Amino acid sequence: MLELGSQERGLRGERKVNARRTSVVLYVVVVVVLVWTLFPIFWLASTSFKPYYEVYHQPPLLAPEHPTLDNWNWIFFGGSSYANLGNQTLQHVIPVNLIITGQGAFLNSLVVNTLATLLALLVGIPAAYSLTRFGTGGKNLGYWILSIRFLPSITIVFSLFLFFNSLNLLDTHAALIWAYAGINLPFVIWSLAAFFEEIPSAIDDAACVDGAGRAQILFRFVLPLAGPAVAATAIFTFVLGWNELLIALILTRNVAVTLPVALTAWNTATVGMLYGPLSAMGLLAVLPGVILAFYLQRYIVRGLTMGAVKG
Amino acid sequence: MSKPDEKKVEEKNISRRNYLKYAGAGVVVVAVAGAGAYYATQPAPTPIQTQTQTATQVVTSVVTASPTQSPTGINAIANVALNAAGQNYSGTSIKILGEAPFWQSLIGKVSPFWTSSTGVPVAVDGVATFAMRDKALTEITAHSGYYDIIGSWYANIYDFIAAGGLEPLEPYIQKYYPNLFTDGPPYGFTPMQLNRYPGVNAKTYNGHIYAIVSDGDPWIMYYRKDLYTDPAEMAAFNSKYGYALAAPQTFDQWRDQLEFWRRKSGDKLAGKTLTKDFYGGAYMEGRYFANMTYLTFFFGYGGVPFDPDTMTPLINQQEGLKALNKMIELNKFLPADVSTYDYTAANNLFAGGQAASFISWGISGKALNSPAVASPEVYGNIGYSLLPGAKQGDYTIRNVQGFTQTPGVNQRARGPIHPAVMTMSSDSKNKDLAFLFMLWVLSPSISMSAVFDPSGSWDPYRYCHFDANLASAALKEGGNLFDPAAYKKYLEVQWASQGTVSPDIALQQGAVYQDKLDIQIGAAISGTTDAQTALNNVAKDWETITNTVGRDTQKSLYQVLYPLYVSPVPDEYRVVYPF
Amino acid sequence: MQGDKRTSYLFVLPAILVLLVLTTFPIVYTFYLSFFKVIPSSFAQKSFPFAGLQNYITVLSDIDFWQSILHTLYMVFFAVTIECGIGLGLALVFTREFRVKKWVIPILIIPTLIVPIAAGYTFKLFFTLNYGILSYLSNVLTGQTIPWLMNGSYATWAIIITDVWEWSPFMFMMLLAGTTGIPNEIVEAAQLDGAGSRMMFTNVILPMLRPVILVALLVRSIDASKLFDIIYMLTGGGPGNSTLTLTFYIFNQNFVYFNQGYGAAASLVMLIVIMLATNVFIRAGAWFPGKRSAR
Repeated sequence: MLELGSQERGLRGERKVNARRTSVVLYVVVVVVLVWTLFPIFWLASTSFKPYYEVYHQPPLLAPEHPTLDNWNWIFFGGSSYANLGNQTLQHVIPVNLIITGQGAFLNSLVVNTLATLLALLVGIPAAYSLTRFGTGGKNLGYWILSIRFLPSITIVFSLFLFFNSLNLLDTHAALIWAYAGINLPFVIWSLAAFFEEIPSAIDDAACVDGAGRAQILFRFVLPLAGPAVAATAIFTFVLGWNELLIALILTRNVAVTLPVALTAWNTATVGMLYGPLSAMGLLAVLPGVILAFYLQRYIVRGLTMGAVKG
Repeated sequence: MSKPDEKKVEEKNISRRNYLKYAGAGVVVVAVAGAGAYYATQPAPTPIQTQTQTATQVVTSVVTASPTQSPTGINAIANVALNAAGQNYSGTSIKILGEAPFWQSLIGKVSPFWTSSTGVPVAVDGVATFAMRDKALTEITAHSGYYDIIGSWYANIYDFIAAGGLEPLEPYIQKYYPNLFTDGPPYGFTPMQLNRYPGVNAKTYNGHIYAIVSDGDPWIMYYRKDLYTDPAEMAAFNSKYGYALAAPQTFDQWRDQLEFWRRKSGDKLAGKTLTKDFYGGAYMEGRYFANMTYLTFFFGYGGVPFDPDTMTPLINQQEGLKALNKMIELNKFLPADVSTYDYTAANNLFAGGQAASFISWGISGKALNSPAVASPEVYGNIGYSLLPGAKQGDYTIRNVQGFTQTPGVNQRARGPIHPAVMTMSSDSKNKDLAFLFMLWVLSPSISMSAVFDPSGSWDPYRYCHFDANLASAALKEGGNLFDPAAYKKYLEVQWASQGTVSPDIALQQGAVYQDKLDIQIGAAISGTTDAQTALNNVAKDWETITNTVGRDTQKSLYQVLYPLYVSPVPDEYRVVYPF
Repeated sequence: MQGDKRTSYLFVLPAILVLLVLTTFPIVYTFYLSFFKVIPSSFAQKSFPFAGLQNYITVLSDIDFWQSILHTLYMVFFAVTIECGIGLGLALVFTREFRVKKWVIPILIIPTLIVPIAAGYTFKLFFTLNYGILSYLSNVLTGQTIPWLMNGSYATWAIIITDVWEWSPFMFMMLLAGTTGIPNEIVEAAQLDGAGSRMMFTNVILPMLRPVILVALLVRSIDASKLFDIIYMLTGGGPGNSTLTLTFYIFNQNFVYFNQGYGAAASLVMLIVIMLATNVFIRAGAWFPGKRSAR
């Protein structure tokens, strides 16, 4: 494994003079990168606790001077709050109704994505297994599945709208679940196939000899071995759906609204961008991503490149 | 590094990492549970307005305040609607598509009274202004029937009608209240709104009525009366420009005043030292708004969007160029970021005391006359005036009705007008019910409350709305303190402005025409393209749209609207303010 | 094993069905729509009026369409290049061991996993003239406030910066993974031969990373060309049309102008381009079941 740091010792083991200086540079770089990465998240958190007159403060405030839970109250309970109208130092209250509360959108996102992921796994695991072990469909099937991964969703979103409308499934969780399962399926299949391939087929043969059917082999022998990998794929699929905006925007109105769509509602033309509650809801939305980063770091590379590169 | 060590280190790392992972997850779960418990045990905050009482009270107080009452009374139409609905529809609900947050606010204010009387709940889905047309079209083309009532700017209804999405209203009007458009003063629709736009109110389109006006929606100019009447400033202006300082009648006068009022922080203004930069004015030049500001100048110079015989776009002819150049010229006296200004930003600049004038919708007048919105130096010092226009000799005259130019008269207040209307979806499952609600919420008594909701976006459109006494009583119900004398001036200007303004581009795909215009205006103002090229691009885009929809289709509708664009606006709309 | 062939088909059948119904048929329908005039008035008629190739002709002669392609290429090129540069630099730095490394890496990949809309809004706040921190900083540093979102070229870079923030971690992880595949012996051997750090980089490390870089560039480029969320939030197409990308052009045609025929035609063009790019990806480095992965 490449380790540039090992050059810190010369051929005969003596410490090189540069070692300490490069160490400082290293830490500086790490700090800069950390700040650059975390700053927007920090700003989201900070703004969500600012009262409205500090959100638009000039010059911008790093941290709220008078922290308040107003924004959080608003996204969880609705009711009325300020609008960006009029003198910034006075309060003008407009009852602004939410399309959906923060917890409602969070729940929708949770339900839709969990079920979509399960559905994708249910359909994808056998398919991935088949592709790996039997090479079903050969290159053509693989090519087709791979190309769908790169499909821009804008090209199919109106068709999906008409399709779900004909089934009277607009603005339901079911529509989003199926849509997300569909567009994430190539990723699931490909990712799982890459993992399955690492499991030697000797295991299959052994089980076969013992008289097990194919389905049994898959679920009782192969799958447990690929356990963590399957979990990682599942989590990844979950995150991909959690972040999705376009399809949810078109397929929902106000019942099955997911978090990304709920966030866009704060961009009103009439009372401006309401950054306070927007930040609160935004923080809520990025929470899974932040938490899951710790779990996914091992698999992110393999996942996003469909196994072309092992993480 | 030897392998066994690696393995051991890795194992240690893994188990430590596992431990931390689980610990981290545990912390998060506890935190979320804690927060959840906290919120679950909080009582929900009481909403700001107690709504049920308000509607009844307004109705009562309005009736007692009114000096003259028509035989039918202000409550007549509302009562007809309530009686017709009775309890027959209890259990169903009404869904309305409207503009966020205003429609939710003002309909939400009065609808509880309807619900308690009929047992039918009313839900308003609020969408951003620029998304309303798309949302409506999405629902219409899918024939979802999700919305019973679709609110819109009237210019969009031609798309909805073309898609077969709107239900003709005249059968329902006949059935429930045939005098809806023949009731005159003191409660009926004003002449400016009654018989003007095809398909709206009394004017039919292809023999049908599709929409009822819910919002008068003109643009007027607001200015700082105290600054404009300050003797020192007046003298300074007169000596510099050679004429008396007053609310500007022409673009050139406005240009002078914008230049005159532009001060920096530290300069003097009416005897006081400024702590912030001060500007002569503001208008909306941001995305989705720039086209309306532009059309103010364009119509002011006598421009018309198309040639009525060939449907060739005329936006890039001399009037168009003059208008765009004037806008760009005025920009240099305005704030640096004026090209991002939406409705809120323009309001804020003026309300915060940083502008001497600004152009906006009528509803700004409601908001600004609240001490919670306007800074102390602005509150109570607001003057109202018609939009400026082109000076005599500087605008194109198109002879439609044998117009003779009166010497000394400037072309005024030709900005775009786009009344909001309520329409009924043809896929609605409760058409009678939907119509009854429309009848009720647009009735004289209930609409008083709705129009004068301080947080709402509806402008006056009935005679009774323009009665200063009734209006300020209704506003007071809504929490605004309002002096009827001051309010009368505001209503007077609104009345006049609603008479003189020109319509939006009200054709099929009208919103698309205006959006293309908006994009190019934005490009010209930001300097990406020069003015003539931008306008030529607009003309080209417009031609494409016209060809797509069908030239003859567009022409037949445009020829009906044409008299409203040329000078002057027909007399029937220019009635003197009757109060 | 007996019956394997049948089992194998059974196993892939549900997946094929789902993909057919939810992705392929919609594409076919879009293709079908592209030959008809589909505007609001079309929905009141018995069937959509046939338009032949008119939609394609109009779209392909629309300057905005070509401009949107240009903008897409411009943004993708710069965004991906910068991401690659940052990713490479970081990857090389992170090949060293240091104490907090295990914690820093997960934090660094957060931007890739969070909701793009939230990032878009935050950066919009940063870029806003009067109360955005980036404008404020640029004022402090250079005395001039950069009108980020008001000017076409700046707005484009605002989008690029946001995308860079969001996706550099991906490149970083890719290249980090790539470096794990470089055997240490080669580096030591090169050192013994007297290679300085620059020569080491260009002649040893870079060639070994090439397959990974290639795959990363391709995947990232194809994904970047679908850029929607950030633009929807930051500029909505930008001052004028200056930040209009192809996806946004299609979105406008479909859901703002409500001309589904144009949208479908433009979608087809975009699909063809993406297909070609996917083809390149497959030839260059895509992994298929049975094929050895690139490190």
